[in-house]
Amino acid sequence: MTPTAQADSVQPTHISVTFKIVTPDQLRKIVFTLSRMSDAQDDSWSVMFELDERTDPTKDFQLVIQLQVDVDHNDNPNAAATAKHGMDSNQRAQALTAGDTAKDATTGDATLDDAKADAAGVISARDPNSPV
Amino acid sequence: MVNEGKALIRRLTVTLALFLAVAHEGFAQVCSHPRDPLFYETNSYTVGKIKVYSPFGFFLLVRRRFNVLKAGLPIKEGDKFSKEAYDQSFLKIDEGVKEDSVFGENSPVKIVLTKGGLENCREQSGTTRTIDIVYRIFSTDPLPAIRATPENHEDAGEKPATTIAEQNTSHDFKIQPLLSYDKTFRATGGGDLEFRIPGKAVNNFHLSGAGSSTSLLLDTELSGSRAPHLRALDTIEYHVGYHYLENPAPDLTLTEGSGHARITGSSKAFESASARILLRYGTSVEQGIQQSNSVTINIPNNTIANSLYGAVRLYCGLTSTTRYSDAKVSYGLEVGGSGLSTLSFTKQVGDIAYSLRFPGGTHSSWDIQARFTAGGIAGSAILLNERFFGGNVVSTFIPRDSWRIPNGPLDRSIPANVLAAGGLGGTSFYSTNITVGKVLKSSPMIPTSIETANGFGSGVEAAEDTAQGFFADRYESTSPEFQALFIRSTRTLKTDMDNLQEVTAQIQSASIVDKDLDRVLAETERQVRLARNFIRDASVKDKNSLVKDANKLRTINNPTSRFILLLKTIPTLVSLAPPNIRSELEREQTRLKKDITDIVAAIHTIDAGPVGKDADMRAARDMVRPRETIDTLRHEANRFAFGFFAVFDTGRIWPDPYGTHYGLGGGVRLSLVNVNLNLGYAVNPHPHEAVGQGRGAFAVTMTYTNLFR
Repeated sequence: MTPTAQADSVQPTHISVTFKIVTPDQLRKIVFTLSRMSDAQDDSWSVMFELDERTDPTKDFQLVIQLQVDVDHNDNPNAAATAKHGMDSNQRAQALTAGDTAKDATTGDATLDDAKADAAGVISARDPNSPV
Repeated sequence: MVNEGKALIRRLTVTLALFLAVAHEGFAQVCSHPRDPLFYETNSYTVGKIKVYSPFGFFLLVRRRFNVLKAGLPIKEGDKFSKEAYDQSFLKIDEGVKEDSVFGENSPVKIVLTKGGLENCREQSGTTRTIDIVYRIFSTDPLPAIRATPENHEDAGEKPATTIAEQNTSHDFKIQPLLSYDKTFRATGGGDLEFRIPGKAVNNFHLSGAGSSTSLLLDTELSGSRAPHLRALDTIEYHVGYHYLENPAPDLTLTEGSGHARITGSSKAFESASARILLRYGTSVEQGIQQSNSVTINIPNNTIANSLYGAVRLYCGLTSTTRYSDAKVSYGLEVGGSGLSTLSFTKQVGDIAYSLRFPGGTHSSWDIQARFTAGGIAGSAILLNERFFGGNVVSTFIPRDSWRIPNGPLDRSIPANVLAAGGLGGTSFYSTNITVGKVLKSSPMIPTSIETANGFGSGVEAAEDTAQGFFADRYESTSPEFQALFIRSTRTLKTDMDNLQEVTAQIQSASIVDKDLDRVLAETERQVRLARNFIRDASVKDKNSLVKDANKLRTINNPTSRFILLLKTIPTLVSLAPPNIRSELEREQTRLKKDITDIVAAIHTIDAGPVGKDADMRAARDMVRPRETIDTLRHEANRFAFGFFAVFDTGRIWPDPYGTHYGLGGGVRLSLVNVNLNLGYAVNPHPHEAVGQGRGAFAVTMTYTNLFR
């Protein structure tokens, strides 16, 4: 039995696959992580997306955005469409805004509830004309 | 020649270690509920062993990293099994192995696969019930050949284990033993010593020595590098050193000793939609002596066997890499003679190499590598050491450089330096080399069970589309049109908020505020404040005085937008406000509604116009390579593979009465991601035993498969 065959014959409860790519101009780094958690009942996938940027290839990357979307068990059609087709322009903008509100919540300019509402708004912000 | 030849067995040894390490995995017992951690918590199991497996676990740095991670896990060996601690531990392991630089230097492409599972369950009653936790980790980080530069590919193909070790250790010095065997060079032993020098101009000192009953090598070099990042000169390397070599050929030994200075530069890579093209060029100056023990009477006409030696070399080349192919063209010119002041002959060498992998989209691909090399020496007083020799190991035109231009014909069925009859080499040559390989059995980098799992493929595509969307947003929002719209719109919205705040102030001062009105007023004022926060946060500028994330303006019509939530509170406020203020409130409501509609329409106009289309196009172009890379990792890359290869060589030196020599052979190939170890035998169909040629020669080579541009 090959090592891989044996490894695959064991049923993992957790799987995580991460892709990291630095664009040819060396100014952007994209990280995707797809994670699966399993239990006796079912499996669920989630997708983490991270974008980092820098203005000079010799400098360190700065985090622009990090988001996580559950792929399965999405009763909400917007969430299901997001998991399938990615975020549309409204959602991407909302994600950045939610980041601002989260920062404001730490300084007292917004409440934690405001930050949570804006974060949840990433899914509901999906344009009805975007792919479903 | 000696250092090339003696590398063979060293390569074989280190690579076998690499491949054997891949095959190391534990054997697990069957668990009755392998996917139900809660079962083992409920039934009070104890954690047996916690194991971390990786194909690269035999590297000290990797193993150390795993030990550190294991020590910091919430779950410990001997603890009562807890699902929560088990889940948390997986997250900790996964985060720990996918961090940047965790296994050494970063590479521009990386894939990390982490699996956690329950194994080896001792479930019999009457004994202590234990369960093992096993993590299997695969990361491309420790594998230098994954990096998309021809130099790194070649280096990793030539000496994978040492390259990995160098990449994964920050060393001030390196000592590396050398041991090899070749029919021409015999058993050879020696070592490499390398110091890092903390200087600005010179960064490295290298000393290499090796010897056998037929050969002796001594190399010493000081090196430095710079990165001007110019289009034509992205990086530059410079070296000064001394080189001594006793090189065996049939019936004689060639000896040379010289000092040299060498500079090599490379351009920035030209990136097109389908290829990555790089220009390389360099020059060297050498001065020394050359000698041989040949009887003078046998020396060909116009050839000097013992003399001073001087040479100036110029060389240039292009490399072009596409997703499935690699092409290299190199040309070298040497002007040499018995001293730099008496240059009397010229040597020219041209080399074209091409490799292709096909078909795409499969884990069991074919690959073909073809190479054509030719060279000639013209002029007078040609040095014997500078003539062309050939065989299964050939020297390089640029000695000691990572850029390898063959300095003679390569025929893998004939021992080194005995291709030509007479044993005194020749003044011109050509050789062709074809290698065809096929993967027969493979283990995909992403196991089929994961690749075909529901949600995995769509999840990857969704992530890719999201990344492309972010790029498009960035291009569009930094356009002058969008920037102008942003500034105009936020000014308008700010005025709207000022007006609304004024009206709410009027309400508060004009009437007795009851509980309901107070609540609605507070909510209205809160939304106004949050809307102002939005305008302030979104207006942050970058160092170029551009609004950093002007596309945040798109959110103003979202259901959770503060402006939309504000519009929703106004009707209630109108119903509770004093009658004389209601109309003013309604007017502000209408104005805000109209402003939002106008802004959204203006955004749509930009989206649909040339600015939006250009942004989409640029973003799509930016994502071509990342999409391609991910596709390769998913559908083509193997963790390890087994296959076969076949070789066919032709080579000829002039003068040689035996004409063209052929070599035909094949063997097996073991691959670790894109580094291949080829073990085979090449047959010489017309051996000329009088000149030292046998029936064939064993072929042990390291190659790499080009997975990425």
